[in-house]
Amino acid sequence: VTTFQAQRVTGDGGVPVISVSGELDLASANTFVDEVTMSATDSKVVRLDLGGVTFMDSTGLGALIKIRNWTAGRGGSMLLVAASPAVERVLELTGMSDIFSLA
Amino acid sequence: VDADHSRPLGGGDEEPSLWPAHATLPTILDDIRQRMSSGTASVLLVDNARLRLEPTATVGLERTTRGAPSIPIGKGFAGRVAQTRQPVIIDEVTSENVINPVLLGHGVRSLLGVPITVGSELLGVLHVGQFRPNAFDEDQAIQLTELANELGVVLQRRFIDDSHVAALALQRSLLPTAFRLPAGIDIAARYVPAEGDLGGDWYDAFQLPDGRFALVIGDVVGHGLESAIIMGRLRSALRAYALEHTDPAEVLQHLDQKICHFEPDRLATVLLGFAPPPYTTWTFSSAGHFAPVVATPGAPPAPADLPIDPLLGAAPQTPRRSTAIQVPGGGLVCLYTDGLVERRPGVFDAGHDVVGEKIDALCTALDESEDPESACIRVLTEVVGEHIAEDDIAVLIARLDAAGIVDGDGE
Repeated sequence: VTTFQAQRVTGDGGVPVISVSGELDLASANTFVDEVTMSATDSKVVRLDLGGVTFMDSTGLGALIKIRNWTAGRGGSMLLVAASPAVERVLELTGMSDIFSLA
Repeated sequence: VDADHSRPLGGGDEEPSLWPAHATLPTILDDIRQRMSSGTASVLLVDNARLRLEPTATVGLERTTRGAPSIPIGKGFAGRVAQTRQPVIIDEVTSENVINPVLLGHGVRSLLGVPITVGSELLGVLHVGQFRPNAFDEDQAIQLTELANELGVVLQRRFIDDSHVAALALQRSLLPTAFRLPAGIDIAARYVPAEGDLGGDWYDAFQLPDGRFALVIGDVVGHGLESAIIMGRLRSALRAYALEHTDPAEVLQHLDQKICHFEPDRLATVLLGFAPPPYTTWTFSSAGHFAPVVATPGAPPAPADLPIDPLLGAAPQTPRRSTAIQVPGGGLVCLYTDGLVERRPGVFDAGHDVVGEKIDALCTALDESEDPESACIRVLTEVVGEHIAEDDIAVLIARLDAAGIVDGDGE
C-alpha cells in the first residue's frame, strides 16, 4: 500500500522542497493542498518533488493547479523539481506538460 | 411497548431493520408513536443554512404540519433540543416553553424531544407528545434516543440517495439518447455511471444552422451533483459558442475563459469536432482530452493524430489548435472519456501500459463493428468487461454512410 505523504525537506542550496509520495487522488488531494499552503507560507516559490507519486488522477491534477493558482495569487510560482512517470503521463494526456515544465 | 428481543435498537451503520427500506416518514413516525404509546410524533430537520428547524412530518394531530412555522435553533422546545443536543422533557406545555402554535392549539400537554444525530452531525429533532401532563420520564427519553439514532441512519442514507437521484436525473436530462440526424451520419452513445457515484462526463451531438455537424465529449473533474451541474452549464455554453464560431479551437478558447471566470477551481476536458456535409472532413480541437479513434474501411482503426491542448480551467491564455481529420464514407469516429481506458494500476499492472492496452482493445472492438449501436455495445463489453467502473464512462460513436455523398443542405 502506497499511502500519500507530503513533507517539507531542504533541497540544494537550502531551498525548501515539498516532497510528495504515494497516491495523489480524490482521497489525498485536499490534504496535499493544505500541506503545501500551510508549510510554504515563508516562500513565494513552491518547489514540488513529485518523483515518488505512484498514481495521480484528475483530482490530483486539480490539486496541482490549485497550488499553482495559490502561488500566482501571492506573486510567486510553483516549480516541479521532479515528476514520476505516473505524473508525467497525466500531464501529457491533459495537455499540461508545457504549463508545468520541470525546473 | 414492543418487546424487541431480537436486536438492540441502538443504531450503528449496520442495515436498519426497524422499518422497511421504502417506508415513508409518516409511516415511520406512526411506528414510533406506537412504540412510545404517545399521542403525537414529529420530525423537524435542520435547514441548509443550519440556522432553523423545518417541520417535516407529524402524526397524531388533525392538522398537518404544513402551517407550522420553522423554529430558530435555540428557541422554543425543539430549538432547545437542537442546541443542547440533549433530551428535553416538558411536563406541562405553556406558551412560555413551546412556540409552535400547532402544538399549543391541539391540546398537547407534555412533550419529549431528542436530537437526531449521525456521528457528530445534527440532522434534526424527533419529538413525541401526550394529551396529558407529566407523561414522560428518563426511561422514555432513552428509548426515544435509540429510535432517533435509528431514524438518523435512515434519513442520512436518504439524503445521500436523493442527491444521487438528483444528479442522475440532471445527467439523464442533459444526455440525449436520440439524436436529430441529417442524412449521411448515424450516431449512438452510452453513459455508464461509476459504481455508486456519478461524475461529470457528458456528450453532445447536434447540427448547426449553417449545416455543420458537431460532436462533443467532455469530463468535468470531480463527481456528484455539483459536477453534473457544472457539466450542464458547460454544455449550454459550448452550444452557444458553437453558433457563433466555426473553429473548434475558438469555441474551446471561449469556454476556457468562461470556466476560468465563472467557475474558478473547476477543471474539464473537452473534445470538439465540426464537419460540414458530407461530414467526411472534420476539424477537431482537444482541451486535455483523448484524441478520437478513427476507423477507416480497409485500415485498422487508430487514434487520430491530434495535438492535445491544456484542459479547461487551468490556462485561459494558452493558444489552442484545430486539426483537420478525414473520416471517409463507411468510416467510424469514436469519442470517449477516460473512464473507458483509465484504471488505477493494480499489483499486476507494474510495467504495463494499461491505458495503451485499453486503447488497443478499443481499436480492435471498433474494427469488428458495423453500425454505431453494436459498436457501442462491443466497446463497452470488450474494453470495460467485468471490472468495476471506478470512474464514469461516456462513449459517442458516429458512422458515415458508405455512399458518403449527400446533398450540401444536409437534408
